[in-house]
Amino acid sequence: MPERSTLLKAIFCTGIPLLILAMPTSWIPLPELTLVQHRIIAIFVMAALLWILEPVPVFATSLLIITLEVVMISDQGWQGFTHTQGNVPLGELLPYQSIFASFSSPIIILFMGGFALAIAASKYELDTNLARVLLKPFGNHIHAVMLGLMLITAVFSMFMSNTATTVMMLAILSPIIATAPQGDLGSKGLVLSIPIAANTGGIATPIGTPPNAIALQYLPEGSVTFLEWMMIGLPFVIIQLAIAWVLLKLLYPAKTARLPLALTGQFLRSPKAYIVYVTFATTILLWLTTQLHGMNAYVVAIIPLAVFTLTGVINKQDLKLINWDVLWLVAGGIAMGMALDASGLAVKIANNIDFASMGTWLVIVSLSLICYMMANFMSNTATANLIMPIAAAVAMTIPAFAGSDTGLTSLLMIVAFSSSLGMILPVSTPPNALAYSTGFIETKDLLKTGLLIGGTGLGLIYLGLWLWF
Amino acid sequence: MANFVVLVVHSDPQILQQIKASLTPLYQHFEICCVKTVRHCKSKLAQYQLNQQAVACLICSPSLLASCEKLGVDEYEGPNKPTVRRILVGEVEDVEALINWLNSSQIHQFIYQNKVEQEILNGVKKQLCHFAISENLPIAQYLQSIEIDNILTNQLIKQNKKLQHGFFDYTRYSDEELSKVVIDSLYYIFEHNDDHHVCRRYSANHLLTQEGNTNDVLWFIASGEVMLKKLNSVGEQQQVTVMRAGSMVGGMSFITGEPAFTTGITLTPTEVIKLDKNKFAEVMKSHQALLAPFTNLLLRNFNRRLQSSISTKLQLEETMLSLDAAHQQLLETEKMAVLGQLIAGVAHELNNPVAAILRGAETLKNKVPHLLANETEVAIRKLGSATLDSAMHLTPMSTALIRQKTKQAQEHFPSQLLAKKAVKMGLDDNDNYQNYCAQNKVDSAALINELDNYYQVGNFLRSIDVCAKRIADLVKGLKHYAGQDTAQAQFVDLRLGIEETLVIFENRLKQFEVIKHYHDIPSVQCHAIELQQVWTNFVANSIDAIGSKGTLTITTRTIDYRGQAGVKICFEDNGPGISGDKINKIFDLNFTTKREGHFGLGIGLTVCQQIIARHHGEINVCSEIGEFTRFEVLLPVANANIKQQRAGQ
Amino acid sequence: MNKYLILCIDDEREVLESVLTDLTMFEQQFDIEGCESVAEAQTFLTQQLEAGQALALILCDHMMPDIQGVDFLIELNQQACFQPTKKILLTGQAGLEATIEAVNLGGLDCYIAKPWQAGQLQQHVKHHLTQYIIEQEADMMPYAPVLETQTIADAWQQRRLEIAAQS
Repeated sequence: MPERSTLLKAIFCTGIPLLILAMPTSWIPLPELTLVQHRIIAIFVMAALLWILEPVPVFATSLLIITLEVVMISDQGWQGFTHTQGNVPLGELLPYQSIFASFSSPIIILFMGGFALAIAASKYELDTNLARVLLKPFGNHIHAVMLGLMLITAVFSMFMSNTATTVMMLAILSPIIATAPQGDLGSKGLVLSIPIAANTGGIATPIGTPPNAIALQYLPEGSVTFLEWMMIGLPFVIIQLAIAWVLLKLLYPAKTARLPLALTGQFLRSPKAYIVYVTFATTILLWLTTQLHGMNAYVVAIIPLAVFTLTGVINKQDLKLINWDVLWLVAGGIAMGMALDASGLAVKIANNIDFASMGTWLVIVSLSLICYMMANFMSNTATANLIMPIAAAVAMTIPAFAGSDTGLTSLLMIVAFSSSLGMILPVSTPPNALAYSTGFIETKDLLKTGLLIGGTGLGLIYLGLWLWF
Repeated sequence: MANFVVLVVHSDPQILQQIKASLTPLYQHFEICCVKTVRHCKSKLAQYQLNQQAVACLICSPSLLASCEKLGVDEYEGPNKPTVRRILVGEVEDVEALINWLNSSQIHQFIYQNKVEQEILNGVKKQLCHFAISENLPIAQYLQSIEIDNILTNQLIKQNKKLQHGFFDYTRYSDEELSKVVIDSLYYIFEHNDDHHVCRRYSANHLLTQEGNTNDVLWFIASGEVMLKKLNSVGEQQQVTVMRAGSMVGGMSFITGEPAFTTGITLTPTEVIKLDKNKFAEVMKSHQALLAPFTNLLLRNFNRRLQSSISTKLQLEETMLSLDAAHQQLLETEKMAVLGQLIAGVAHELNNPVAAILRGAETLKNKVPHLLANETEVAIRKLGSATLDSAMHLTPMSTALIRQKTKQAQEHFPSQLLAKKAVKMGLDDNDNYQNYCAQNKVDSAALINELDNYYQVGNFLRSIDVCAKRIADLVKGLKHYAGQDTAQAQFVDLRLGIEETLVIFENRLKQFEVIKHYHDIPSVQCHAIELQQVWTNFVANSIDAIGSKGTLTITTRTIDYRGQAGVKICFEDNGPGISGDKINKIFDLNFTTKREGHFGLGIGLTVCQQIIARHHGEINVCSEIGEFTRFEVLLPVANANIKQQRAGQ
Repeated sequence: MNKYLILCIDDEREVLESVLTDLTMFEQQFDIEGCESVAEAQTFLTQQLEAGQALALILCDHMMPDIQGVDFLIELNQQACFQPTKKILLTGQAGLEATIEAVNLGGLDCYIAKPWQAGQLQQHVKHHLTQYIIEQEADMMPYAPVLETQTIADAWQQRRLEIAAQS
């Protein structure tokens, strides 16, 4: 009975926070806790439970967070919440504008820009044609094709949604697989390579996947540019892909070495198509050259949006294809983080747990492991939403990080990377789910490769950190 | 600029024009594009793609459909990827062609070329509605266009011709010129002194002369049409000719005083000059110049009639000569036509069993080698051969029963598919199946799938057997029908012939309930195959008349026929019946109510009557409208002396 | 129970068995059922509709007692729930007029003449099932291996943004 279990989950997810809300503030083991902070704890617990158990869609949880925040802890909230009762101090109420502002955060604009590029590219078949053209030079040997598929998938998922990239690449691949003899392990390897590359590729750029952007949100303005992120992310992605390629070759040896590839692609030549090509290239170029022109990634992101809507490349219908749920999910996370931060709760928690004595390494490893574990079972973005504010607060209290932004930056990037490495189950990420739905692979294949790639990814992060510091 | 395009591609400019004209009401909301060739179509499509216009409806001729498809009319990037609605306009000869078009691409509507004007607008509207729905277009916006009535405009063009005057040598004039001279002159004469109202205007359906009545008036037709009619031998009015401006009506009876030969009646509003005897004499006296052209005209008029009647007579004689031969040939053709159609019908009948045999044989080809490969265990093979044996001899249970049992048994099996297979083999309702599995220590799925192979082989063997027998029966029936009787009449049980006839019609009789009241009748001395032709006619007539569901009752009984032993065979159907005025004519040679595509040439009953007459029998028909039609054949039992059809030729 | 149903109707049991055998290649993804008469099919379809199974494709004989194939297809086509259903006539005996009627009113998609070739029948059925799945099923990839893989993959790709927006 799915309805019943959903109901039970929902009751559990609201019951626990209500209990927290109902109990006296003094019971919570944090010093000088204000009422506002008390309520934020309840909201945070509820958000965490809802995101983990998913009795409602993740984006609905985000909206709930924003709603509860403006009602319970904003200066324009319900009367009963804006006045002190008893002897517990109320604490500082948040301006309601700043809560609503999470919807128009630069991060949201950055994502809209990314979506606009993806919509335009797919509408004018730029992505498909480019993928076919780029795949040609790899020949038709199965391992070369796999390498080609992985590289192309990774590159596309850096600038487009990982999901759309996966669909596109699987669609190119599946007719080839269908003609292959049944039960050939090589086919499985090919299909697996695509979600792996898509999940991994997203790590390389700030817009590749939402956790990256969420990390940016918590970093001081301008501390990491688009290019700087890529300089760390790209080598990581390249090494990960290389490892994945070798792993897949070993785990899924092919019986037939040659694939019957028939790739035909013809670029559209209408004026609008050219607008798309030029805008696409220009935007990426602008992102990479912030130093030259001074416009940061957010500012650049709105340019393609304007160009495409003005030229009619993106019309009213296409606008609906923007992943609004992802935007809302991110907005909810921003609102949550803002509340934690602005109320001083985050720092209070971080100060109260003696991270300094735990040792820097233990903190980093445990945060990234928790993040990795959660990301495997729930939405990567929701994971980042939950962990990122805590990580940001923790970073403040670690003595080793004090004094510069480098420590904070590396911790948040590690958390972002870790949340993108969770891919052991079909439900872990949309690309996994799509690859699984083709029926060519089984859960155990994803489990096996996902664990290995995740393991090497975490290892690589720690190794890099060790070499750096 | 309209967002959606109705694209018309047709090589016939006339049809293109017709379609274009018919679709004018849609111009407000749709771009209507008519092109003659695929090349034009291609350039148009490119232009639409640039403008982001989409083709909503494609109208084209069958021959161009494939090339239009190749151009990719469907490459429209709407959110729902709706299918472009396709309407074919053209001629279709046979169903094969239609099937070819249908199977090679999508068709949503077919409109006959000659009906295009009447049907295209509604057809396009309907398809646009479909398109609008599938595209989720705001229909209201387009409704106006789709609902607007077609406005027809008619313009009447009048031509004026100058009057001509003053010719003398009338022999050089053509008939038209001459009559024009006379009529114009008469008008001129009566222009200012028409006291007797000589120049008249009649509305349509005005009687001028009445056949058989005396007539003392002469009419000149100045404009309009007058039809001459004459009663034929049956008492029906038959059209003789239509007289137009310049002709004379009533001339012969006017001059000779004999009763009018034909009835003259106006078809349209008609301008005439009406001259009675007095007026005629007056005019001829006062305007003598008119006498010459008038006489000339009169003579010519009579001469034309004489000429035409002579040539008609010659033609008639010729026709009479060939008619006899044609009659003989027609009777033979009728039998061949029926036979040909029967063979076509039987070929259709053969389709089902032949299809089943072919498919069955192929299945056997795939399964048998596996069964013979000796790879399975002995125990299972024993079970298998038992399964095969029962499948071969038992009629399978109905599909409904299989479904019901599958539902019940489903829980005992890993999947619905396996449950169904087990039910077919009868393994579900006893402990057999559990025992088998336990005994043989095999996975139940594997066992059922293995046994299913045996079952299928058995079942298809049975099915091949059944079908082959049916084919044999059909062929037997046909062989008899097409064969020839022996010279001498034989004693035959008529019921056998009737049964064979029914076998031939089996498929077409599927929608019929056939009730047989066969009483014991003695063998009858007859030419069995000729009689079979009679039964065939009765059955075919019933099928043709009823069209869909109906009842056919066949009765045989003994009677006393003209004082000696006889039999009566009745074929009765519950069809629409035959009305009283037609029932007397159904045995006439040229009587038919049949539409095209039905059995025979429509002279079947004439042939039947002749056959029965040769058998010294009687053929009767009685019918009531909306109730029934019954044909009865009465035949003497002993009938040694029958002329054969072929012997007579 | 699979999500989609393929239904064959033929009053001649032997023919019906042959058709069903020829369609076994689809049985992993579709329920394949046979009915011996239109009446039986009608009850069965109502039942399946209630159980939430959609009719993907119907293969129907024309010459049958009671209701003729074309008439039944027209009747089906008038019900909204069966309009997307792909309709194939498998017969040797539908005349020109009946076929035109079936195209214009019955939404006929294909006509296969008896006797048929297994490959030809399978190809037509595969083609129309593919079209049906593309039109009706959001999660179409699981059907790609048994149907026209390339076509489904292309359609899937065309919808990549929608899929991305939904997952």
